[in-house]
Amino acid sequence: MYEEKPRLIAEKASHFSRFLNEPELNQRYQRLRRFFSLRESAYDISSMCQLRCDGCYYFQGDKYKAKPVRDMERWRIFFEAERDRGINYVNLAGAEPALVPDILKLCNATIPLGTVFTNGLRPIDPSITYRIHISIWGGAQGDPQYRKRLNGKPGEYCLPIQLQNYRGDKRIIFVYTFNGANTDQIDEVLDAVTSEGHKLTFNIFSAPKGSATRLRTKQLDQIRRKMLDAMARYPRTVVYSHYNVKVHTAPDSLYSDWGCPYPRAATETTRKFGLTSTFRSYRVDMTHHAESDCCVPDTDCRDCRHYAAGSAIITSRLRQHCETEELFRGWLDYVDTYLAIWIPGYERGRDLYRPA
Amino acid sequence: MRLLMETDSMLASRITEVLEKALSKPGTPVTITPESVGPNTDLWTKFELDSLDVVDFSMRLEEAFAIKIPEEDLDLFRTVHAIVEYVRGKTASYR
Repeated sequence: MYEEKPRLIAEKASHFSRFLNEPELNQRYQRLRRFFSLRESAYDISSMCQLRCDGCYYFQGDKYKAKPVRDMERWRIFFEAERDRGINYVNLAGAEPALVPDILKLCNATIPLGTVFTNGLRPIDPSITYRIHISIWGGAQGDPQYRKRLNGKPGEYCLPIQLQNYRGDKRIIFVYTFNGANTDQIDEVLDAVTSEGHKLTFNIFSAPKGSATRLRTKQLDQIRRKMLDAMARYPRTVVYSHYNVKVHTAPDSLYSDWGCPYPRAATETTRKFGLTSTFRSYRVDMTHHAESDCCVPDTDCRDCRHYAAGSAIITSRLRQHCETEELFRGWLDYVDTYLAIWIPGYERGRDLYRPA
Repeated sequence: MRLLMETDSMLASRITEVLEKALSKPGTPVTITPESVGPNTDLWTKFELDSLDVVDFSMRLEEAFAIKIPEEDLDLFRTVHAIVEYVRGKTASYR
């Protein structure tokens, strides 16, 4: 394994310092470093939702079988224990976390930094300081089709309600999930989101385990073109980088191309390091299991292109991105974008990556 | 060759120099003295190092000592003493 000679290795490994000698790259790197200390975990805090969405990670897996804890004192003790084990960033999901405002407040008072993943149909109290990710699955045609009512009938078009509930709210960012069939519907969504002065980022549908709904190469090509077009046409609205486009629409999944630091993907021989040693994905009954400790526990890893997964996978791959300057530039852009999506008030800089 | 002639304390001194560089930020240089960091001081705890800080530190070590450090070895890098041993082991494997 170590058959290479030291001199050759030194030449290969000398890029990092060289990259940092460039003022523009060093400046960005130093800005990002301030956030290296984020330690996150994920929490289902609600078992209820007004919608049943295609590919929902809560209702299509077995998480929904967990019995929710309703005792607020237990939640208080739980979040304090999480804080005490070093967690300083929470990802609050559900089903629908906006339906349990007391738990949100309790968590926010204990661990002030985090993100709430919501369908946006119920406003979240303005006192909550978390970033709020509002999911959107298409335009007026697609959103009701992919997000059904509990009786199985098409749901409401969520966007007008979401915009009304969160008018002028700087905590929010819309997350548009491309599923291969709604690619062109992003235009009407972007028009509406832009007219309200909000931001939007992209997600790509990642098939749940056992699902045969993987995106085909042609669909990924269409999504890539649409993302690039949207970034050019709505530069102030879209929070995404060219490098994000590259890694999330690559032919193979994030897991296939980069591996995965989540405990779920760890093997017996994996060293417990960084995210692998601290990340937990709690169910609504406050239990977690190593085999599902991941931001999207019921996703098929071989199809994982999820934006939250990428936020951990790519950001943790600094070493692999130091092989070339272009890769390092891409990593800087990706982490910069990640922070703009996940940290309240963080503004991303211009793209440093120069696509071929 | 240089490594083979260095004493453990010389190696430790170079390692702390690398750590200083890794921890320093523009306008806020970090100085590590032998009094503040002993051979068995837990560096991750003392300096609240995140995993990316450790990756940064390890890449600088690679450059300083002309060695290759696989990612799976990073959690060994908790003390100066452990790093001295690691660097010695690496250079021995190249001979």
